[in-house]
Amino acid sequence: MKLRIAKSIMLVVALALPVWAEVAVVANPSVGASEISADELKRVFLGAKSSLSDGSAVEPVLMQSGAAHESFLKEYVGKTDAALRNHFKSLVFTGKGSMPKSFASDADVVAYVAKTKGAIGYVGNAAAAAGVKRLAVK
Amino acid sequence: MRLERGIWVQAALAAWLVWPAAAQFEVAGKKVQVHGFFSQGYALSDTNNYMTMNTSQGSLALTDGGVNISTKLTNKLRVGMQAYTRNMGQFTNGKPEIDWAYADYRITDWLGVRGGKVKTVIGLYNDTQDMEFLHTWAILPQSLYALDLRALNIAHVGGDLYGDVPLRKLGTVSYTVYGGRQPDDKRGGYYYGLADSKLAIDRFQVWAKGADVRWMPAQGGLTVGASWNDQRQEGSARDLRFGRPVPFEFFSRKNNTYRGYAEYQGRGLKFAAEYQRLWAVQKYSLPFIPEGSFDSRSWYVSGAYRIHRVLEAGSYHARYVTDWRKDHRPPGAHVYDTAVTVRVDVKPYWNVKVEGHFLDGYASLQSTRGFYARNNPQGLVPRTNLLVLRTGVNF
Repeated sequence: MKLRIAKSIMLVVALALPVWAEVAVVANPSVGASEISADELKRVFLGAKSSLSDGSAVEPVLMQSGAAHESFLKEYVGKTDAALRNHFKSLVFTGKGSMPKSFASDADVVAYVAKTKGAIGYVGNAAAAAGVKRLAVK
Repeated sequence: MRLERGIWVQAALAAWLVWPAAAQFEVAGKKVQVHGFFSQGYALSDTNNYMTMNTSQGSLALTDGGVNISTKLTNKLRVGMQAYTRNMGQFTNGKPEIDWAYADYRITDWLGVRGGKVKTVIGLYNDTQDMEFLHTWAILPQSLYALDLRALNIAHVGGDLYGDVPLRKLGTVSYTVYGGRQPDDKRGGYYYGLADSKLAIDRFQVWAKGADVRWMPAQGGLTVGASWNDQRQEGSARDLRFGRPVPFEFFSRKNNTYRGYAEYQGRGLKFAAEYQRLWAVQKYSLPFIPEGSFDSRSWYVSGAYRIHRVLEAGSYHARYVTDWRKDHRPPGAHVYDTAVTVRVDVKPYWNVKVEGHFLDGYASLQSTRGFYARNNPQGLVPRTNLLVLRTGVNF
């Protein structure tokens, strides 16, 4: 009986866990920090911040679609995909920012982040992350 | 001839737009981005002609486009420029212009500096008003984003100080402080409207300074802000109402704009509202023309809902009162506009909009908002129903 209750609690907890738990933030090894605050992360991905508190220059890298993309935007950026692209277009067409690179797959994001100084992106938690470092989100 | 050249420029822009492979490349190890947009509209009205277009017969003279190039020279230094052209009725006629061109040095998150020709930040959309693809509407609320008076505050040649100040759990405050000379547009509504009053402008200079501050909470899609713009206008003109032209000088003693605004985006919903007061006092060198002043008020409220990934519907109500101190009721004292819009995003880079406008009033000749005596020789009537179809692409 106790075991059943424990299993039920675990199931409820598992279902209640936000999807963003499946997203990992990855960065080029040139980025000095090993962790980043949620606020910093949001501002990096809104183009409002180009360096972290430790002085590392950063460049956001987006995914084009998928569960990790949707989860990341919902949890950390607070905008839908369309709203985020509109946000960057408003920067691009007023000269206040660049359109971030975007990729279709985890592997493509990891490959670009690994070779690009200052690049910071996100992938599914289960994705292989060779050549990049994972950043903990505070 | 000028119009033909403009159309060729626009056709070249459209051709450029279907070449997305050019969007990013490298020069000397620097990433260079090229982006562009193009839109074409059609307007049909049942009574008055609008925005100098022959809308009562149906008009396609609603075209614009732009292309920009930019790069980051260092992590803190960005340079770029954008060319823009439009053909709207009798305005601009396809003449390309430098929309913005500047260097931007971001010293730190809370302090950056821009110098060159810079888009002026006033309210929610002043600096993005030409990019129809960023907005639900085919035509933004004309009480605040008047297509015919675009040149009066779209950009300044000068500089900005700007930054974002994080407030931890309270979100972020962004600010912009600017100053400079505003570009002149001899093919814009200001010149055109005064010509209807038999005034020919020979020289017109506008210097402006101002500030914008906006707060965005850490959570949710709310933006709340306020803008201030202070212009000093001066120029020379000829009064053509008499047998021979009478030259005179004019200058503004005061030309202050105050605006408050709020926007919410979330759960597929978009709400926005802005309120503006423009308080101006103008002096003239001719003794028989008294000092003139006006206190115009403009506002709108809007709401839109994204029904589907590709479909959005919305509506706004906008009001412009030429002089708040006077009776608002005559059609020459106001323009009220209720608009209903459906936007279809055929592709992420291509949209089509269908928009109905129900306009009440036509404002005065000296305070134009789309209606001009010259384009309505039969006389202006109080109400205008207007259909606008607009499609645009961007990359």
